[in-house]
Amino acid sequence: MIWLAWRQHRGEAFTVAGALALVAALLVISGRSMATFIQQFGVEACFGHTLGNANCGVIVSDFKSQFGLLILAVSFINLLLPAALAIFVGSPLVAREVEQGTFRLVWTQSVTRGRWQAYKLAFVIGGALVAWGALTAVLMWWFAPLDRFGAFYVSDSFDSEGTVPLAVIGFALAFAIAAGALLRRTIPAMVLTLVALVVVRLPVEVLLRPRYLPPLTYTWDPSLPASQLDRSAWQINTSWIDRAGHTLGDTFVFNTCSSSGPNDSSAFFQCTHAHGWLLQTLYQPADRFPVMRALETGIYLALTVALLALLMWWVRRRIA
Amino acid sequence: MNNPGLALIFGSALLASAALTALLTWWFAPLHQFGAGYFAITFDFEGTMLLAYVAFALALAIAMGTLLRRTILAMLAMVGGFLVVRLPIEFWLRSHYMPPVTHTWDPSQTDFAVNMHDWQIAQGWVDAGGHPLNDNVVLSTCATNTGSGGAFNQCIHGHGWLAYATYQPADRFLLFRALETSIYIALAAALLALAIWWVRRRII
Repeated sequence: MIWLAWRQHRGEAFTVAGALALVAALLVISGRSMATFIQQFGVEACFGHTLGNANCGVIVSDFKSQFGLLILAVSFINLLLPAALAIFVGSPLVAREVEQGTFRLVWTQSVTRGRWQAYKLAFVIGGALVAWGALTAVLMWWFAPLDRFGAFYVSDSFDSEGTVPLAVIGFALAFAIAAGALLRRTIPAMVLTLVALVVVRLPVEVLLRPRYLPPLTYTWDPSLPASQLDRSAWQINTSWIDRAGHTLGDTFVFNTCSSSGPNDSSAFFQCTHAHGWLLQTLYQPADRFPVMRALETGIYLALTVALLALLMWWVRRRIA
Repeated sequence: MNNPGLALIFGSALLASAALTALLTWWFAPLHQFGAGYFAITFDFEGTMLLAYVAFALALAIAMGTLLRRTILAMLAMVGGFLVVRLPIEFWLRSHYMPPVTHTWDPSQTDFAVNMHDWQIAQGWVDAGGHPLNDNVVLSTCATNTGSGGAFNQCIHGHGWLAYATYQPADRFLLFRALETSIYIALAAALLALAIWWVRRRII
């Protein structure tokens, strides 16, 4: 039984392992040169509270031109690869057996179909989790020097660190396999999986993630020298408010204050100061990130369990 | 091969791409006032590029399906093949269609920034002989001492080095787009010809 599960999926296993090994090798090479650069030129101090080096401007601009595109590309790994794995490995898992009729042979052996399916799920999802655990370890090592800058890159690294990527891969595979079982056809299941990953992950990222805990507010008058918000915080958005604390439209503020005078921000801020307007930033402090990661992991884990339960019930009772 | 079917698929896909291109062109139009620092972004979305990508991707998918004869394998090969062709063109070949213009200057004397309408390819420092220097060498020579502001450019000057920037001028963009479109169209035509030949001569 285990032999047959391995025999059915060994091609996929080798392909996934090979692809991840290639990604990991590229990450190790690029991560070492990035970490060396950061350490050698004190980039971290340049992002910190105090300017460490008079040449920070040159150093930061060179850092961005050398590594900016790379950081963007790496932050896309955990958006694209889980989708690819779910679509090409998950969707055909049950659907192809139904399409090609092989389920009639496989599911009528001495092993019950429920147990057989459970073994296959354990084999495929377990293998994916082991592979993604290794990839996550490499990604966390890769992002570690950037995380020390504070939260400049938090939205990039959130998807790549801790337990969130593992829960996402579980959810993506469970959805793809269940879609294949329910639709009984591979290609519609692949399309549905792609759509579902966008429809679920995008709102979680954009709507839920900033709101797992009520954001804190930081209010300041830009015309006065004031302390900066802690750089490790994740800033969600910044808007103008009036004396009573009501939000003002940006367009309204600009129309009122940016009319005349030289191209000088101090005149603009004098005008907003005269109106009594303040800037207010909504943010999540860095010490909340573990709780936010745990909550997001819980959401995907709950979806995964529900989908797997539906799948097992469907395979036992409804198919064939 | 069912040629009317092929024509129908390509025709409707290209028509849809043309409509989407029109919408994208309208969407990007206000950004053009800022200059084509946005060139690098809009290159992929305006003019003939989307049509070329769609034609190439469709032809690649059809050819892979014909040669491999298995749907899922062909889908995987199409995604892989598209990335293998497009990423090197996008990130390497595109900036090399013509030799970029190079400007060198002494940063302790003057300041220089590539015009917003041009597409900056690279920037860095060259030695007195005009050979590009490794950024890390320059920074470790001049940017590690905690001197006062401006010390960096004085240090560059002291070594006889110059700053340089390379860029592609804005008036080359139409030519570049035409060149890149022809590359994809040529690839699409070759793949389609292969698929049609394969169906006529080799399958079964």
